[in-house]
Amino acid sequence: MLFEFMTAGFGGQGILYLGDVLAGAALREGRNATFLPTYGAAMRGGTANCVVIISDKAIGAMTLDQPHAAVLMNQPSFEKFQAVLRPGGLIVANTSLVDPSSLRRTDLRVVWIPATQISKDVVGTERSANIVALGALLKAEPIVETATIEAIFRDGATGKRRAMLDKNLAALRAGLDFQD
Amino acid sequence: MGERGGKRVLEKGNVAMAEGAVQAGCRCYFGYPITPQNEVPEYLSKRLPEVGGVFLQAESEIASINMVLGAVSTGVRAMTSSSSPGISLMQEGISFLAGSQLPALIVNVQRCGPGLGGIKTTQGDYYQATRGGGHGDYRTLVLAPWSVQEMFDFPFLAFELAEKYRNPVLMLPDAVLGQMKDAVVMTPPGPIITYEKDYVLDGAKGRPARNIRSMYLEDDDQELLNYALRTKYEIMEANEQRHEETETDDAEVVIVAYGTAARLALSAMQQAREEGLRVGLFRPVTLWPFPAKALRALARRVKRFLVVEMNLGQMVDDVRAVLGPEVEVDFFGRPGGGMPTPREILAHLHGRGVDKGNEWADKVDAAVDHYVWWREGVLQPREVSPVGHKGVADE
Repeated sequence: MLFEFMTAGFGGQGILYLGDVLAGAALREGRNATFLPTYGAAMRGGTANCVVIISDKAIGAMTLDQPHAAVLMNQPSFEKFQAVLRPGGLIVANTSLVDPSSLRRTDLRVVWIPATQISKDVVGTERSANIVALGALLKAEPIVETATIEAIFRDGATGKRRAMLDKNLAALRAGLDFQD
Repeated sequence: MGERGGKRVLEKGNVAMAEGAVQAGCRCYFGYPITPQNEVPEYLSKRLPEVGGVFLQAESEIASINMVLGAVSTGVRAMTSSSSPGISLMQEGISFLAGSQLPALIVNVQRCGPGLGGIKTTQGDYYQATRGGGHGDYRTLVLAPWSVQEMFDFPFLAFELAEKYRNPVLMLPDAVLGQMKDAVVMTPPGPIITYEKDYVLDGAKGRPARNIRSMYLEDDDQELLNYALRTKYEIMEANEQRHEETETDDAEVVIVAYGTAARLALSAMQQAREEGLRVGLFRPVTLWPFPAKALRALARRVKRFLVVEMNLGQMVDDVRAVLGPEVEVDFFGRPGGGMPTPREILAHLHGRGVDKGNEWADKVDAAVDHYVWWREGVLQPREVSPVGHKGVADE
């Protein structure tokens, strides 16, 4: 099974972290995974995106062909990347920053979730919107086990990141519990 | 590289390469920042002091490579890394290393050019890497990783071969391999092999003085050195050709590709196999020496090859030179940051070109049209008199 995933949004929205966590979780579950970020010109407020490929076999291309799923966190990403998804593909769209009326495709599954707003409500800042969206993605498409993601959060919660653990777990749960 | 102990982790190619170099015994790094390899100096600036090594950000690439030359003259394992424009600046120093017969590791995480170019990926530096690159009649051994695992593993091999032949060794990944994360086991692939260094400058007390140089003005010394180097390169060509084959046993068509292009080709091969097309992959691991023996052996039963590169055709020259005019060698590549997609490669395997639509064709035409001066009749030659030189224009 080959699963192609991409996520895009503003720099600073945790786009690369979302992809990194997803790829890391697949690896922990014994599968192969690659993670390819944009680099160099990407910065806070600019655009950022990354590609994650998950497979049970050796992974050739680390690039996108037709993604099965995408998490699109802002309006420019939504307008640009909805075109690349395969028919029947899944989009998790952050309606805090995406206008649903700009959907042009009719052959996609779309989870509309105000991830930025939920992040503010649940953890007090916008910063966990990526994890809320990840939760919504896993609910619609359980690519990896929720427990694996939680284990990554726990293992990464050292030093100054320790304070993020509870926020990440709460944000993930909020995404999983969200009723579209 | 087979199974070995250690945990599989997700790591960036640049970081894995840097850690591999440290575990392989590298104790000196000299470099100057450039995207897309900045994770290398970032990581080593922290890591090398932990093992008693030296990290130094030089004032330029030219300084970096000459610091490497100085360091390896003392016998220590030393390296530098950069990306294409920076590697061009280092060519003088690489030539000096080759002329002085000194071991060193140079990593070129390629970005697109020519010129300052962009920061997107490419394989545009194949010619430079495999033909010496600097001035003079010399070669560098070139290793082409295609995974983060090989990014980690190849520094071990690179230092071993560099010391065995007293010759600079290049690693030639590209921006994608530097930036991507992939599963990697970061424990040594085997024992670290080194060789007696009877040339190092470590103080001449109790022994005759030594001299490391690449300048020979006396008699026939320079010509003789070149014959000696040629013999060394012939031994390297005989012993160090490396490659990997995937599903070539029953293949009717074989893709020849290295590095990231080989990853893209692997996907195309998998798709072709699902469609019933018997496709294999031949992946050069050493770009110099080029794995000519194995490719020639394969051509005894395979009559069609497709070379895929992220440039407009460089390695394909070596493939055609090795296989001769009797074997059909097709080419597909994309330059300047473009990456061939598995779909495009598949179309070429089916023997048809890629139709990327009129929009793309119009863009390419417009780009070519932009440079109008080469059109017939646009650029007019005119004669000028050689003024400004006393005694030439003046009566």
